[in-house]
Amino acid sequence: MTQLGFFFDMTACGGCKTCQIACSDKNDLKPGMLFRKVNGFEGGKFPKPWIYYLSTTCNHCERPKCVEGCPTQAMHKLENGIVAHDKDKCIGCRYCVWSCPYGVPQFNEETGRVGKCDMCRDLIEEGENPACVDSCTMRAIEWGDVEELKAKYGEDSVKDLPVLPDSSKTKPSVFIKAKAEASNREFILKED
Amino acid sequence: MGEMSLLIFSFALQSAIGIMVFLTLGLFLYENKVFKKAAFTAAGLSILGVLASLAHLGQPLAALNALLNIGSSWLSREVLLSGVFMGLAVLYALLVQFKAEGHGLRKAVGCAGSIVGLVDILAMGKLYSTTSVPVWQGLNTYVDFYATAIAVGALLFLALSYQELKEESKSIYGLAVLASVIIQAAVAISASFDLSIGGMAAQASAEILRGMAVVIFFKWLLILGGAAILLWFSLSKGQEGKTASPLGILSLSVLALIGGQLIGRYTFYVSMVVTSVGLT
Ligand code: SF4
Ligand code: SF4
Repeated sequence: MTQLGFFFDMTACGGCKTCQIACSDKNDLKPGMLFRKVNGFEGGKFPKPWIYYLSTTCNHCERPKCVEGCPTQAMHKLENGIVAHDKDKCIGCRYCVWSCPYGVPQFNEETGRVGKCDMCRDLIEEGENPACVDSCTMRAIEWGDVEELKAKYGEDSVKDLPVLPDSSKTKPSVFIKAKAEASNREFILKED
Repeated sequence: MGEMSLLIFSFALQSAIGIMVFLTLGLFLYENKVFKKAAFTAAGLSILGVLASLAHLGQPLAALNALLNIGSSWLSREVLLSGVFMGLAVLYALLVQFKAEGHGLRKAVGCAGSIVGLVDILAMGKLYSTTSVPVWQGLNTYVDFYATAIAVGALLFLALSYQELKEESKSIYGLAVLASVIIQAAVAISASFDLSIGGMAAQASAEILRGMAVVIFFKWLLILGGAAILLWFSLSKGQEGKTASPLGILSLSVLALIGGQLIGRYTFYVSMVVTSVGLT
């Protein structure tokens, strides 16, 4: 079984949020729902203040707690490792919202079901890139097989940061090339 | 609060399970009693709980889909067990109503209902403690659920079966309730220490609970006070006529203890924080 995943280059990201907007557009999301989000974290003091941005979405985890806990099997893992969501099975119990340590699944009051990133599987099947990947002007997001991403970026990337939950819980398929500041345990989540 | 339906579900089901357990014990302890009021209350509470849980769903009509992942989901297992428990509680009530003889059958249904119910509480504990919500993780959730079932169950059983148990000693109920709430309080205190030294989401929950310190103080005052009143009541035998009104005292205990446990369950849901840095 293959496992697809994302790579995010924090050192290239300037926090423009184009990926977030492209994602919301592609998935036709109403305000209040996001499948990808850019968060800014700041800290330090003049003359050495710092800020870094982290663009996150579903990590299509190797051991997805959302899938394990979903009572309907609406959350399920595909052959290629993508964690997909079957809206016909979903009963809107929101248990996945409590299960995912990354706060990824989003409940939609209108449809009474949840939704989340499916890595633009329709685009991938047509040989294209996910919307976030193509939209980033800094080329900060990549996607691909985790083994290939690991070979390419494994050395200087991480899965754990002080702002993220412990990766041993779900084994996220994500590689983050972090700035040095991102290892700081003292930080403030930047308000939008 | 968004989780009101879950509050009603968990509290009603746990209370019904507790009643069922004490009712079944009563079938073995006392000869030829059926505990009709307690039986109907257990059945009614379990129906109320299951209906409330449907109200939580975005797609209530597809609720049966929740049985599709028994293999790995504690939520699926809990839905199944709660449904079976409700069925057994209703069956017991029907047996009481329509089958005057059949004491053996009632005992069997009572035992089955109690066992399914007690396993169901384990599933409820698992379902909350395996989420990514730190305040729900750990022993406290299980102890809280079982203590609620035992304390509320014993107390309601006693209050509802007061006429039938008039001649019997009531001290075991007083002691069972007091013991369970003391354990509940002890485990809760140690859990709140763990929370304040946990990660970001745990800290956020600890912060919410700190903001509710007064409410939590009243919760324990009511729970422990209710249990103490009950113990005093259950130990003072043969004093009818001397004490004000035994049923009045019992009702006071019921109101205090249930009020306290409901406040506790409310804080359980409002203190939940999944993760501080999510997508919304
Ligand atoms: S990030 Fe969350 S929603 Fe995505 S696969 Fe992992 S546990 Fe599931
Ligand atoms: S909300 Fe839907 S996808 Fe999430 S756990 Fe419930 S049934 Fe599964």
